Amino acid sequence: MPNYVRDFVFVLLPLLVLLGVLPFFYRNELLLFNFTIYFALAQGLNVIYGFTGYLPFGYVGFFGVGAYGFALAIIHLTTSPALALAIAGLAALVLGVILIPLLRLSGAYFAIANLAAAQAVYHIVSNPDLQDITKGPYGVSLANVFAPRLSYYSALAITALASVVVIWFRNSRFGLALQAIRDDSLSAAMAGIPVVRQRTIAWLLSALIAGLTGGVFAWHISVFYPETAFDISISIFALVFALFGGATTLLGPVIGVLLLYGLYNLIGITIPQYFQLIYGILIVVLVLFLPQGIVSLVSRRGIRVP
Amino acid sequence: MSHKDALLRVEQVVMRFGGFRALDGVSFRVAAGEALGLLGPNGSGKTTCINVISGVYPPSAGRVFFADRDITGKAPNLLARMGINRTFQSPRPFLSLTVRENVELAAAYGGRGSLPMGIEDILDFLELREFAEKPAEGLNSAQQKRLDLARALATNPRLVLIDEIAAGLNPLELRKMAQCLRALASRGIALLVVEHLLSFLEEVTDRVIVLNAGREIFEGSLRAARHDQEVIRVFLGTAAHAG
Repeated sequence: MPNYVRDFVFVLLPLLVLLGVLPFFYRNELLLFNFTIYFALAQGLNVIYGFTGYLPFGYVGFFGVGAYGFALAIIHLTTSPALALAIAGLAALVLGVILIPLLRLSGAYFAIANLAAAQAVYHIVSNPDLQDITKGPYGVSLANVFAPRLSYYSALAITALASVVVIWFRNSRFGLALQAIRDDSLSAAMAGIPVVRQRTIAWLLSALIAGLTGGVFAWHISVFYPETAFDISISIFALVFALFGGATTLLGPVIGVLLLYGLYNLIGITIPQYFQLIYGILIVVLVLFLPQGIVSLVSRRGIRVP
Repeated sequence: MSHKDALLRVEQVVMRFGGFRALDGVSFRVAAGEALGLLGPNGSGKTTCINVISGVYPPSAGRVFFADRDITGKAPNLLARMGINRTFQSPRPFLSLTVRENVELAAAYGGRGSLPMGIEDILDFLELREFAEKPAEGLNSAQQKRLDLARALATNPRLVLIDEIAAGLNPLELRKMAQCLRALASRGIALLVVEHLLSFLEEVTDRVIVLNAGREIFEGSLRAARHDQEVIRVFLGTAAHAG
């Protein structure tokens, strides 16, 4: 069985089936939706960080632009949610194109510049002077298109799309070339790899995933504010989940979301006063002892992790 | 060498970094299948010269021609597809990929037409076959240098720029590397070999260019270079006896 089929059958398919049937048995649909959103975001972040090494602290910028792209399409153009989702993806792609010059930076410089860009977009969106267009800091309401079941399954479809991109990267020459660029961009160029083009494709795919996810988020929660859609903790969570499980793999971010977001909700409900302490210790331990993520416990033994 | 015979022509190349002129009007030619040595003390501009030819940075002035095409400032990936490749002073393989993936990727992206040497032949030629399925990060420095060269060969190059490949190799590895480079030249691949170790260089080629402070101070045979007063003054004074 080829590796890409194995990745699909043993990781993605069970995940989709599980998330597909759970709403019929489990009533807390918002929690399930949030899990689904983070599955998509962690994989979207995996696409850019895991395969190219760029650390996008401002990843939430694409998410927020997607959320507002969706909302403004509904409010001003009175489009259908499906078309609004496409506009959400397109809005994130446009932001991705504008930010392409950031790819000239590396390491912490890229991370900081990306974060600053996300903050800039947030301040534009929340500007009271733009109230007629974005509703400024007062938030948007999309109650007229509220359809939680439909938006939930749309989020699931976006998770599937993000995962398929990761499976493609994991099992194709294209993805291998991206990893080569991540290892050494000059060597990759000397190997004939079009470094700029490959990086740009990964960057835009990652932006598209976050934009679509933001769009479906807006659709599902239907009332939100700029602080909600551009909340930096969305970037941090997606990043920590991907790193905790293990970037560059399909399974790593899935494990990361299941364990950490599961724990987050568990601690948040049972002992919220210790939440930050426990979460912080966990992340420090991970960085110190498993910098390649949980899946490295297996992969370091030479076993291929999906 | 006539204008027509030259595969690579470097003409009056200047490379400035701020106020510092790392290359100051360097010109030379390399014929197809020829091995040319590039000598000079530390900081003389040898690696800068290779970086300019391989497109790492465009020169401040001057032109570089390859097979009569102006390639000045072209991106490294385009040069690889035209038939120019290189190795690095400190080897730079793709550490997270296996040895085979390193070589296959270069063949897939940089390869020009069908390879005269297949992937397996290249791995055998550079004694990397036994490590083929291992990650490159597990190789020692000498093996990583051979992998750099293997990756360059996988693009089916007409010219390979070799940057101090002998550094850190033991005598046996040096002898084998010299044999490899001679074999490549005999197959018609032109080589521009930057090297400090004269005993290694004379195993590979006899024609050398000597740089000092970014300027070419000698062009001719290695034997003649050893007796040139200026070369001896700037570089070979001690190395000639040590090498």
